[in-house]
Amino acid sequence: MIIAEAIADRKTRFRSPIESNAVGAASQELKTEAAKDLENAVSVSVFWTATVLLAKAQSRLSELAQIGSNWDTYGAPAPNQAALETAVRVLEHMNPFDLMLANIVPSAEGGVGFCFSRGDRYADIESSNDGDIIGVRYIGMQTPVLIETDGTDASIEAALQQVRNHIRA
Amino acid sequence: MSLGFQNLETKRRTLGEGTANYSRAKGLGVASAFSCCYSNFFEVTFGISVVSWYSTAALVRFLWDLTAERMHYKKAPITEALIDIRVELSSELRFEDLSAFRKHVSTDYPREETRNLSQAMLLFGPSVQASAQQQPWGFMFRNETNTQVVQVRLDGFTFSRLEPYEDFEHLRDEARRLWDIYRELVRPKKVVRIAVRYINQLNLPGTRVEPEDYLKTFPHLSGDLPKDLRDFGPFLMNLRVPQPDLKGLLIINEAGTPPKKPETVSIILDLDLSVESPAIESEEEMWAFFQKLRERKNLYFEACITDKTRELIS
Repeated sequence: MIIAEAIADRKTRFRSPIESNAVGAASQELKTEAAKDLENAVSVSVFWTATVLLAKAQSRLSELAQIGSNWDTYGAPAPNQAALETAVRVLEHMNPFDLMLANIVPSAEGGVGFCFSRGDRYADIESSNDGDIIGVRYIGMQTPVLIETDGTDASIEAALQQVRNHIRA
Repeated sequence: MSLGFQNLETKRRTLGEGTANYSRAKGLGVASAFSCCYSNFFEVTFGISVVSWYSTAALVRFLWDLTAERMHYKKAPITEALIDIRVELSSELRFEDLSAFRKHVSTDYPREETRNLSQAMLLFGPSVQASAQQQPWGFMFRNETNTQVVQVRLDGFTFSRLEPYEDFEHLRDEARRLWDIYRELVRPKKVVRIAVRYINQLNLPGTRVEPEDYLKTFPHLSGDLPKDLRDFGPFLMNLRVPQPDLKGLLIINEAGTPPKKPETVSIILDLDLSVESPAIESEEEMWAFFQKLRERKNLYFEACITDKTRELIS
């Protein structure tokens, strides 16, 4: 008997019984119990909260891979493969505390956005369909400040650090 | 009964001293085998009913003594260690009242997040999105290096030490310092649950590993299956193991997780030991009880891993 990383499927890695499609009484009971257990398990642990949030974020990116163009009824393009792959890279640079604040959305200009807000502070990092990673930050009605990257890991990390400093200032 | 206990204790000390070096050299297996013989001797001599209660407690202590000196691993795989205290607070206490904790910890724990009641529920939703029904229920403060996190909530207090782990004494002392602040602030009516939890991430070399090489507790697929149909990938095992002598419950979570390094298989071994409505009369008793929980947790950790794992983390 072997445990093999190669058998891993990222989409189902942390899939729990509560996400199954079964509808019988036993399944409902299992879902309730599993949800309670999981909630209790993750509620106080930083590690598990981050792990589940990361899995959810990956799942969210998978969902965004399925949306079609004109998803907003205003003609917005769907995120393409380049945007999704870059978004995965951005995700890999996020720490547990970033994940707690991140809201992952499709971009109206085509791409994937990681949005962060706290009070009147806002920042986002967008992975666009043309392969760029660019962000913006602002406070209330103030003039937005551009967050630029050159696509390297170091610049993604620096961009996220700007976001952290801005949101948590 | 008391004679049996005293004899057991005397023998434990004598035999424990005599075999300590050998057991350290040979591993827990020797200690286990030895303790079985030891237990059998007393069961035959005094009868199971006379010594059973004492022998459980004494054997746990005995095993702990034998393994105590080998517990601190140089490359301890602990990714999070936490002390959790759930309380019943006055119904008049509000979330806003918890914010007074900030001024006491802002120097050491300058980074702050609000934890919402729906944050955990959010995890089960269809996507990572803000919820309109978020209800603040506590604060999370962390230090500059993101290695220590304290949570103060309307249902209790949690202190977490993230990587790199130091030792239990640091964990306990800092938890106690912060708990004293929380306790002064919210004046809990009673402690309803206490827990220690250690989440280990074992990074095993290779892309395919035999679980029994590294683990003694793991999901087992029937040997009746053809060999090539018994391999498995990511998994999640959740075991509830009652701890009668502590009146507690150990939850063992074991799961495959994305590896931190290439060419490794990564496994989480999460030991969550809790006691509901602990029989404690004072703060001193509570912190002494945490020591017992920690010892029990260590016993299980050692029993869950093999010498090959010990080599990896030593």
